Amino acid sequence: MTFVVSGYGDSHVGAVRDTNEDALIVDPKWGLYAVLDGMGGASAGDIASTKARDVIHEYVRARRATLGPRQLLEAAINAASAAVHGEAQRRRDRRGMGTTVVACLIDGRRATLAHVGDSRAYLLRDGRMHRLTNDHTIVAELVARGAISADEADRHAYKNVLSRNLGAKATAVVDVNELELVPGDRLMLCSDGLYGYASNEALHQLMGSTDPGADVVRDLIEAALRGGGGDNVTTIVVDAGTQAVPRATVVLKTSGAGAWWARRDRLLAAARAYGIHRSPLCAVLAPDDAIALVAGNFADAVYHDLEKGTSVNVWTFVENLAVGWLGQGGAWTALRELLDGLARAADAVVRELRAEDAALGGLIEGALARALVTAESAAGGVLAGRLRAVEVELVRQDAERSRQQAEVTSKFIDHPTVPFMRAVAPPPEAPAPDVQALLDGARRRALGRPAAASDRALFTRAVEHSHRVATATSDAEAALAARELFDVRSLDEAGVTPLYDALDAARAAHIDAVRAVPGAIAGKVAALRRIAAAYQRLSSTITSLVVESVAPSAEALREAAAATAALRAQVTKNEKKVAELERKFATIIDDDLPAGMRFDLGLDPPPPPPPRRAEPPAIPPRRRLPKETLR
Amino acid sequence: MSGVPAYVAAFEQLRPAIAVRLSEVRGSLDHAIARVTPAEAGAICDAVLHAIMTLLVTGDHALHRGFVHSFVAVRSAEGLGPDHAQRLLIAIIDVAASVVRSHQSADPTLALALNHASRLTARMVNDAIADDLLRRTAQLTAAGPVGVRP
Repeated sequence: MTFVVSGYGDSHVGAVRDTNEDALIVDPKWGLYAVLDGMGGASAGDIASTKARDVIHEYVRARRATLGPRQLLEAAINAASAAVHGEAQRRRDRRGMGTTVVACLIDGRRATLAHVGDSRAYLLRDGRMHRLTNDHTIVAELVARGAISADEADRHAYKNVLSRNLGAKATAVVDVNELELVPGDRLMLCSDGLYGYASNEALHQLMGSTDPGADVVRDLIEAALRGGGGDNVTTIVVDAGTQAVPRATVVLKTSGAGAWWARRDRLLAAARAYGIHRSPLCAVLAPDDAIALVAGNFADAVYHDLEKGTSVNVWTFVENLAVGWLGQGGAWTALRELLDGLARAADAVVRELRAEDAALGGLIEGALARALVTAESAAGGVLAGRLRAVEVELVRQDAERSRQQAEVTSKFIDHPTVPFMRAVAPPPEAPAPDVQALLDGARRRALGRPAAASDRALFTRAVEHSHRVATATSDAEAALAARELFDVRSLDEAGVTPLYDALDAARAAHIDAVRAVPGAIAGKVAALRRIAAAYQRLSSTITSLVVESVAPSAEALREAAAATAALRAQVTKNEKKVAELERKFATIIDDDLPAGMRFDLGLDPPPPPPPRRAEPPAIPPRRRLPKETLR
Repeated sequence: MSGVPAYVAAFEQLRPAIAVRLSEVRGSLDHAIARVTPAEAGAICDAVLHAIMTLLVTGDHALHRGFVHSFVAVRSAEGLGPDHAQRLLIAIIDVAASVVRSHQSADPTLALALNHASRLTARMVNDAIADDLLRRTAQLTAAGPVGVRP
């Protein structure tokens, strides 16, 4: 069986620009395919790309028989670089022009790829898409060296600045790769106007379609235009092999899609039977309109996906549904039920299809199952997007409240220093005489015990103050005792920890002492409760005192953090400004201009002011001459 | 494996081939899984295949939901969103289904079962995201607008 290669390509000016600076070569006879993306203002970009295209094409045709593919492509690209560079040197208005190139030379099953710049090559094999080229941009090289992360690269001011191009010098450093094609492979060459405006998912979906290459090229360009079309878009699709399309897919595309379409009305009827029109999503629609809009669009999306062998239509349908519904605050359960209803209606159609033609019905059932997975995934993306938005808002509001709280607490001290002092609970009663006797005995015994705490004096004071609080008839006693215990101490581990250690040791000794004192159980229980409460109050009051004491430091820390954040923001802003200025200066500096004519850039001191009545010297208009490596 | 559908045994037999295929394509499965070592990527894929196998054998949705939640939580700890975890799960099951289709083109039962498992898994992730969304939205509502003091 003969190994067949077919290629198709097209270029579009895009939705924003007036001129197309891209060029392409599609020459199946010589197995040569190339995409070139020119750069350089004042119409020089298209000149660079077309000149390089013509040189490469001619070079390959002239030396195809004498050189191997690798050497041939490398030499052709170098010849093109020399030609563009020479042209730029000859004419001042073309100074700095250049072009990227990604070229593929196919010889039998062997494909040789060469590229300079940020035009890319992709390979679709076994349903998976692989990128075959690395961009020659400054940022990509920084990422490759580990100097910056991929995330930083996306925000980098120089992300579009090329590190290599064709025409900057007479010779170019060319990256060359070779690969062995297998039947079913699909290669795609493109300019940055494609991958910069169409998502990877969309490229993958469209590349994976079983449509002819020409249709895929058209769909790829349309995807980039839908994504904004901010640049010229050029792409070439090369299909390799004897059997690029699996039989089952062909059946699905033809008979499957036809059979599904023939049952569109049946699907609408099933959707009505499952109550799609009663879904909250269809609340504002008449039943017939609801069925036509929701079930009808679903049927159309499935049909188009069957016909093209993609999932992009079902994805778009569900994503639109989810964005519209969840965006207005709709519940996921309603959308979930609607999707289930559509799935059940589709299942009813598939059952009928299987009854008529088991094989075809099975294929459609499989395709439909995959479409429903796609639907869930599309809904998941929208749900997760909303979740992220809500989380961001929560964080923002929390930060705002902290800021407001900080402002308030810096002006007013209206929070209770000792929380329980404002309690509305009745004041404690004096202990009964037997309990008082127990407490007194316990105090004496506790003080006579060997203390576990290292600070004996602190231990003694803790026992004494606890006894005082346990026998007090006022809540204020706890606050006073706590302040006396806290005394003057440093707010660090060495200062605060011994206090808590002493309180712990005193509590243990105190409780043991109550147990050891002879007396009635009821009295002991009452005494133990009073002692436990006393230690709890002392402990919590001391904690409040610690918190109160560190408040000024915490406030200062918050202020410092806020000031640091503001400074960081300012630094980022300044860095961005510096980057913009660097780019601007790099773009308009022309070293050939005589000194004295660059004063408006701030590079030379300004000339002395002209005499009052003399005519100002004629200064040529400032020309924008793009630096060779700038896009 | 008496008592379970015959296709489950077929899935078990194909697991080594699926693991090999997953290892081959892991770079294009997901950027997070492309970054880790082959052994770690293999462990992630194996855990998913094991969970799918358990689902096919037991049909226990609650058990599978537990796996899905823990998978999403672990990916979340690695800094990946739930939708990302969902796409990774779908991609792994999709590769398994494509291997199954290439080995069993005559009998689509197992591939179909895997597709249903994939949809169920994706749905469970969506339910989990929706629950989270509900909770967070309630928090946002309860907190009230900023600037209004209680």
